[in-house]
Amino acid sequence: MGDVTTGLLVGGTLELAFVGLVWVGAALPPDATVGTIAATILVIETGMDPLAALGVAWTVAVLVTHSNVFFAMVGISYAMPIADRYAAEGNTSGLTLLHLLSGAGWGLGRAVPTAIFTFLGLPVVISFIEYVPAIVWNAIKAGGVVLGAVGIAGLLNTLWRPGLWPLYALGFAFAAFLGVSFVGLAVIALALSAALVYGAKRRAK
Amino acid sequence: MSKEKKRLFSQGELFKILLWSWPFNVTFNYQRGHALGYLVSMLPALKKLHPTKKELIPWLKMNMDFYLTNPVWNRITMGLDMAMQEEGADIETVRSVKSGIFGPLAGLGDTIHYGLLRSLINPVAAQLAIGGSILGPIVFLVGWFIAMWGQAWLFLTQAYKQGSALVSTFTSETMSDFRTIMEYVGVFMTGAISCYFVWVKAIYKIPDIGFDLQAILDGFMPGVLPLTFVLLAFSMYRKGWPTTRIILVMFVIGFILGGLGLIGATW
Repeated sequence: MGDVTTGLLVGGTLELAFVGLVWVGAALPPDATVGTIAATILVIETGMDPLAALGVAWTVAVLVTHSNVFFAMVGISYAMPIADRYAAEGNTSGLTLLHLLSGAGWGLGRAVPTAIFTFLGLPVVISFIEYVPAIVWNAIKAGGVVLGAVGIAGLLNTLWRPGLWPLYALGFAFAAFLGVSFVGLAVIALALSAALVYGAKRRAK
Repeated sequence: MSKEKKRLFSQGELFKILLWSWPFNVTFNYQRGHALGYLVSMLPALKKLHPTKKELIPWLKMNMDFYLTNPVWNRITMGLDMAMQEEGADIETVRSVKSGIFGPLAGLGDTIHYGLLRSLINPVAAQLAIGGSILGPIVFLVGWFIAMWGQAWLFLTQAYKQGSALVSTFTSETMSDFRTIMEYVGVFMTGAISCYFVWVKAIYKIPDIGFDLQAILDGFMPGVLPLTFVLLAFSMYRKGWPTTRIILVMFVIGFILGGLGLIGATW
């Protein structure tokens, strides 16, 4: 397209619009990168106002996020049992290869929608997003976020010792009822655990 | 103190490990977070620390535990991990430290990146780009390059150095206390992330009569949905189900409840 100035203008405008989107933990924000590419193409081709293209950027960004949830966040989850097996076999080159290959899930998450809007055009994509009921997107997302519980449960399973459930309950309670930040949680956890260990030692003497 | 002692990993090796660990984030997923990324990033160090396959395998398996943190601040865990192993910490100590530390690092790292650095670098770059200057993308790329590599290098080398200095002063008694304390911290943090790292909420509402399922659940106990799902999956692990089946069953449960419009993501 060769129109660098317009590209910079659209990119800069949309960056300021998207800058408030925050990726905290695994909460996927709308994918600003692909959204901005789509909007830039549209502005250069049709001469649309960059701010008006924001709506298109947003729609595409949301679609790419759904696609990321499906291909990457859920798709790669299924590579994890294979990684467990390689780890048990001591197959380090298998682990490296699996890491790099299943990383392609993130590539697919972005490449598939980009390919669709490149070859079919943006109107088709937008009507597709409107055609698929919102409840289907919601179901995929809900299935994905529930998978987070599986990893944490697995961690709890390996850390579990008889008699440690009060600490698990306390950690949950400080987070759920008081909303303590992670720094606060670290201070509480260290102080409480040290008090327990040294208290037990003093009594043993 | 340990100043005279020769360390196992030279600056050059640390730099190679830093480069090698760059694709850390690519297998980020809901089920195990960054576990595989962490394991692969640590492979060069693990192979050096445990030359035989028999010694290595338990470490490989341990690192497949759920682990989720900020990709740049992760270098702190890596440096500490290497230092602790070099000073002879056993596998359960390292497991507990990793499990206790990743949540706080995620909280701090994400705040610095998305709160501070992003609001410093991106608007400046965007303003330049709107003015039609090619400096916009250059400022963006160079700014983030320096911010990310600079932090990663500093974190890895300092965590390794300070970690070695600290752990090498431990007697066998302090080491055993440290191990128990970190075991407790790990379980405590797992309780906290059972609330913070499962991004699920009830979305069922009847606006006409002001019914909001999540508000009712919050009145009962905030975070009750994440906790329920974690304990449900935990009970499957305790029954000895294979992970593949647990992933499938939990995904289907989430998918059905989501399809019925009862639950959704918090974002």
